[in-house]
Amino acid sequence: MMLARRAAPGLGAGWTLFRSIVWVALSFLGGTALLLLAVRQIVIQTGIATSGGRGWTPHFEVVLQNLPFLLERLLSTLQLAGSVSVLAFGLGILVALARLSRVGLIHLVATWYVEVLRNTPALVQLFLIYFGPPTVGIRLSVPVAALLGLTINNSAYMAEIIRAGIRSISRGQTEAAATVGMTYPQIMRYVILPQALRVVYPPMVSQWISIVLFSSLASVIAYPELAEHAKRLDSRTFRSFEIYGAVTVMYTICTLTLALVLRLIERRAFPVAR
Amino acid sequence: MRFGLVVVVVAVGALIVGGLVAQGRPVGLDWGILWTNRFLLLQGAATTIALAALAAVFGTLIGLLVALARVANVPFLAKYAQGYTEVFRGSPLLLQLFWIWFGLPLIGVPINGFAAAVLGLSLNAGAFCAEIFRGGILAVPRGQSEAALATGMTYLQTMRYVVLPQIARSSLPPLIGQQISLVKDTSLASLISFQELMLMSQSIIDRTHRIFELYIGAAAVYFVICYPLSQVVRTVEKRMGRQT
Amino acid sequence: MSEQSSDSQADLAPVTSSRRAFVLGAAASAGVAAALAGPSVGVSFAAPVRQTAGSALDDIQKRGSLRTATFLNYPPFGSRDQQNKPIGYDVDIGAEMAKALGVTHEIVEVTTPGARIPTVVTGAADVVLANFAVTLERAKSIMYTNPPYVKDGQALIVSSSSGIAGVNDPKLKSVGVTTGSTGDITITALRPDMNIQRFDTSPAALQAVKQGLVDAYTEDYSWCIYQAKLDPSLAAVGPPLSLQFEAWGVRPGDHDWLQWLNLFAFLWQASGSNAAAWQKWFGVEADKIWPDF
Repeated sequence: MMLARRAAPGLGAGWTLFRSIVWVALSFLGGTALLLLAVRQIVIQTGIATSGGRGWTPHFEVVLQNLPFLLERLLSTLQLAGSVSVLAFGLGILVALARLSRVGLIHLVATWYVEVLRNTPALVQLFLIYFGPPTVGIRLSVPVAALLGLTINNSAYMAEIIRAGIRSISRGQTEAAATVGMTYPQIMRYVILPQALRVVYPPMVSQWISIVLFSSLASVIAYPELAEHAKRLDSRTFRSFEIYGAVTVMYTICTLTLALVLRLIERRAFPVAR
Repeated sequence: MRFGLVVVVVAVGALIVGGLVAQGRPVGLDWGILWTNRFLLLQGAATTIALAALAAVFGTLIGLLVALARVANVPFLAKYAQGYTEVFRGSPLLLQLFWIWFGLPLIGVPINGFAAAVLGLSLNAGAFCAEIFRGGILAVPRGQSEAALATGMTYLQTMRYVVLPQIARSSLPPLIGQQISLVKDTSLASLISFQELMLMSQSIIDRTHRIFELYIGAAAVYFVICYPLSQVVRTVEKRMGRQT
Repeated sequence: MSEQSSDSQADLAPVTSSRRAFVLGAAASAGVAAALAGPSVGVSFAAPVRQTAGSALDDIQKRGSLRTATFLNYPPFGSRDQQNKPIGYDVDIGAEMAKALGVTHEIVEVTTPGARIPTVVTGAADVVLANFAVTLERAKSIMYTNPPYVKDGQALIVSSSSGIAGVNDPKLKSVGVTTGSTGDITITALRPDMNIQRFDTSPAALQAVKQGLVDAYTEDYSWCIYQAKLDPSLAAVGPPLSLQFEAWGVRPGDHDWLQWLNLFAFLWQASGSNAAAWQKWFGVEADKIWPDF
């Protein structure tokens, strides 16, 4: 958002930002609409259009009629994402500290944990968490499985971000704190983590946004969130183009707003001394 | 590296031992099922790699073009590029794939499973690559491009000879990271009925009812593809860190 | 016809040389015949006038293959064998259809019930041949063939150890359904209070029952019986909760293709082939739709 940086804080910045967003949205939606219309004309003229597609007319009223419920589901998506973010952050700190541990076994287990979770698809992990445990007698409900699966997956990514943040704080500070007589937990709590928090905040924001997006995977085990309702609506009305297009835009608006809010919080919480 | 070797040895050992000991036993875990279906799993893996490779190539190209459009001075193009980046990075890949696979044929575009998967993954990857390239381009001091333009070079020439060569090296680690994500994202193509590794595993599960073994097996294949790539990223980053 | 006209012409014309008359007569009658028969003379009847432009019947011949939207994760209607090749009751029917049309059979796999209608409506497949239950609601978006080829009903499949005896059994706490299927519709109507867990695909829902993640799964009664036979840990709870018929689906408006399929459906059943195919895949006799077949 280059324009936002140039404008001064206050109403001016907000208005400029709003205006630029509107322009971007109009350009993109308008441009894409024109592009799709052109493609549609081409396929119809050259005769390779699908037989059903020739008679298609837009029917966005399906989306409009169901908008209240879709918004309700968006809220439950955010709730899921919020819970996952908090839990994964907590778990991530533990794993990051384990990764930095000098105890060989803890370090090895934590490294396995991170590498396996980061190098396998979240979809597989989710299926394993829902369908796997019953083999040994543990039955997780869909909400618990979704929460657990997403939390564990994201904790690995968060652990890496936090670990990088901790390591970026110079060793000199740790050593100085140690000479003053602080214990390791005290050093972590008062010296390292507060500074690391500021360093990790930007990549964390990306991770939180990613959690909102990947919560849509929970739809494959029918967790009641936005993507799941979009699928159900589609299976009832077959208006795939309108439904998935509109819900995609809904997610985009949601994540953009979220990113904006989180960056504003960053400016307040971690003011940069100029 | 040592960690990687340990994992591989343990995993292969478990597979062999498990396969020899548990073959055909109806109760408990039957790792032999992975060996029995090895050709199907390899087929799935090959499809996954092909899909990821294609989407990686297209995604990088799209990303480059979009990044160039974004920093250019042409007003509509820059805004469109920004919109594209925001939408495809800000919405779930799942829905993007659904929109392409279910939605496009409804307006007349004939598209098969493979094309839909490649298109969806490429557009998504393109948005992320565009951000990577844009970051790199913005990191190059403005003075250089201004000087180049002042000497009479066109925008494209400036990009090609002055700016892009400088970002080639710094963009490499995040780009490879993006391709690793792409390999994992191909698993979503199973949700639009495209027969890659996930769907292949699920077909085998439908037949043999061995959920745990097959999902672990599929995860292992993804791991074998992605882990080396992530190690490459680490090595490249270390080497670049040493040089600066 | 030409022989008749040459005879009559030879009678009427003055008797010159009989051979010359024959040649003249033959030529004239050929010309008359050509004028009467129009452009179809000497051309095969491969361009009949269809009610629908772009009928699948013509597309199939042009393409040389019949595309059926079929489940391959729903044995024995459709599944994959050890070599991942499609096999099943619906697969066999598709092969027979293709043979009758003189083309190859191509399966467009659908993995979820909701994908069937869009696949045919957009033309990605020519016909839905996937355990497709007839409902009036669906009939608004797709054209069904008539007569139907399967008579069935929705029922519960449960784990044998659960002892669940029916849809109103108090032990039944949660029911799985596949999104967009008639099971979904049936159980929502019968037990609106029930905790319904939706799944995308039927293997996923069946796994959930086996794992105890849901108490039951609502699916076609014949399928439930088949699965219970394969796996003694499962039990099909009869009698069926609903009555349903299954037919094939084509794109709305394609009446020429629909008529061909209607005829195929009738002959397929009247000849006893349907009963034989059902016996082959299900191992039991099919529920008779008609008194005769």
